[in-house]
Amino acid sequence: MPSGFVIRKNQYYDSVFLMSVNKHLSDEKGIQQTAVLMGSDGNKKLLAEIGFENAQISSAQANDLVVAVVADTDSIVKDVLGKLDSFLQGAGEGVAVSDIRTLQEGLLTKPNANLAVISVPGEYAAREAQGALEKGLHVFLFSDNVSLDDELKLKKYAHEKGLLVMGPDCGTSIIHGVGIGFANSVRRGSIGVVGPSGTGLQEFTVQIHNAGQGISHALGTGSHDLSDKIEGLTTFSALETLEEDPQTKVIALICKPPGSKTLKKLVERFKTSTKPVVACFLGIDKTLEGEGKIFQRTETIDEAVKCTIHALNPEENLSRNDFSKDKKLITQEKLGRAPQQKYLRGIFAGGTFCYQSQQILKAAGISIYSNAPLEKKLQLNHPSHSQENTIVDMGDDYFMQGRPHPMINGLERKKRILQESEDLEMSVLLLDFILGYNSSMDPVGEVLDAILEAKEQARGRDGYLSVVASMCGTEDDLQDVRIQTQMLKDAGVIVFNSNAQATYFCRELLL
Amino acid sequence: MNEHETSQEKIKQLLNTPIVAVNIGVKSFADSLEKQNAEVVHINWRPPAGGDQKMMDILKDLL
Repeated sequence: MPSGFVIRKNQYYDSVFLMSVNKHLSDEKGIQQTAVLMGSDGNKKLLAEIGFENAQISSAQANDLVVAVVADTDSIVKDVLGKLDSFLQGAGEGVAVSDIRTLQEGLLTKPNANLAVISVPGEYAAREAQGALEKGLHVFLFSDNVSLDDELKLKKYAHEKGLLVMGPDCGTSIIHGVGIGFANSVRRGSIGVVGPSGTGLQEFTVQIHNAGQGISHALGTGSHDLSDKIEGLTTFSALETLEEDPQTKVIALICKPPGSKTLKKLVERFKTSTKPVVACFLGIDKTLEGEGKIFQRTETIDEAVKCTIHALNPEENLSRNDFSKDKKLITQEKLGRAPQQKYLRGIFAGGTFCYQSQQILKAAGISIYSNAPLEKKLQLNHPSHSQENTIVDMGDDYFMQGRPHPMINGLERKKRILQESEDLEMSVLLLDFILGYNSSMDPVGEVLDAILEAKEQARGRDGYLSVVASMCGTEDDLQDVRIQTQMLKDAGVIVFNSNAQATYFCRELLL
Repeated sequence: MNEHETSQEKIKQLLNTPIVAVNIGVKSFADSLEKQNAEVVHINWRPPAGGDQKMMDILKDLL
């Protein structure tokens, strides 16, 4: 198939910008495949995998732009590459280019800076974070692919200097009501929360907001902080700070199972807490020492929300419009299925949701295959192909090679939904939608056609497909949560306000 | 004030003073902070040493 590429020396752009350019390119008529990348070693490998390998590309450096296209005809290739400047300008429309190139220069502009938000490629991230700490800045480190050794070094250094390192691989924090990274617009209040997972913090803070309460601070720690290698260095600093923070009345922790040594240390730490602690340990179903007296343990984020609000105000009874066990609705959804339709397919943007849904279904005796499974034996043979009941984390590295995260752009999720729609055995499709800063402005719109197509295909086979979704968002988010939800409902999707509720409903559909 | 109190003092300050951020990397993170009326300066970051890994290693050894 005709193909071509262009290399622009010393033209560096960030990954989100490049993905936006990539989307414009791939929307052009006759285009089959596109890659818009910086010439780093990892990206060059990726280009080779899709058939772009030659001396010119090999010699490209990490600050050289490489644009490669495969199209139906040579003239389309030539035309699209010729229009590259207009695509670059289109994607960057209205964006003022900063002439500040270094942290040093930045600090001349903002000498009172107190936080560095770092999202450079992983291989440079530790170096930038170290530089910021040396300047006395706290760090929000979004970048991933930082080694555990580097993470430990950074966190130890920060600890010595009394600074906080949120990350690496930190998706979300809310400080002073200001969302950093992927965060929702939530009310300020008296509940402080700490956690390694971005979507876990988003789900918790959104539900607290939707229940009429508010967040003092939400502190992301990075996904590896509770490993026994890092021993929760950031988590312990965050817990201590929230304990001393006069605005915070109750503290919540949302996490997957910590390393065993770190879990023991956490439980010991809870014993001395002067404020009530609610710990949501997704994936821990055994009673822990001191639980119920010195801290409350929950197995789902929804339960953590309930317990936290109860700890804040024992009078308040959190009533939820729970229709996950609505018998009439369940019976209605099961009607019309073809005999071969028996399996669930979850196509997720949020990694923590993928984990929590598997836990809930496992507790009901339903085994779920995944690319991020609870047990090794349930690992999918290939991430791109579902087996029996499957939940896929589309934010997994495999799907992210040179592509945007599904929270930013739903294109890959859309393709996967269409792929699943051809499977005669699918009876339930479970999806998650996450609103907030830095997320797609129209996550539902991006996959809506695929949902309708999947339902239509099932009908065409004399069957019926249930589509169930969770919506993580508040009325103050930039995306209109009511419109997003209504679009789903109009398409016949059953929408819940939480991932756990949506999963409970799916459990009923499967049993 | 003991050593322990000092070590938490800067983090407490972070929670008690408005965010003033230096954004290094994805521009849209700076934009979202601006939308929330937080002070932010965006650094037009590029890979050091022109992205040449060998050169970066040499510089690292020199510094």
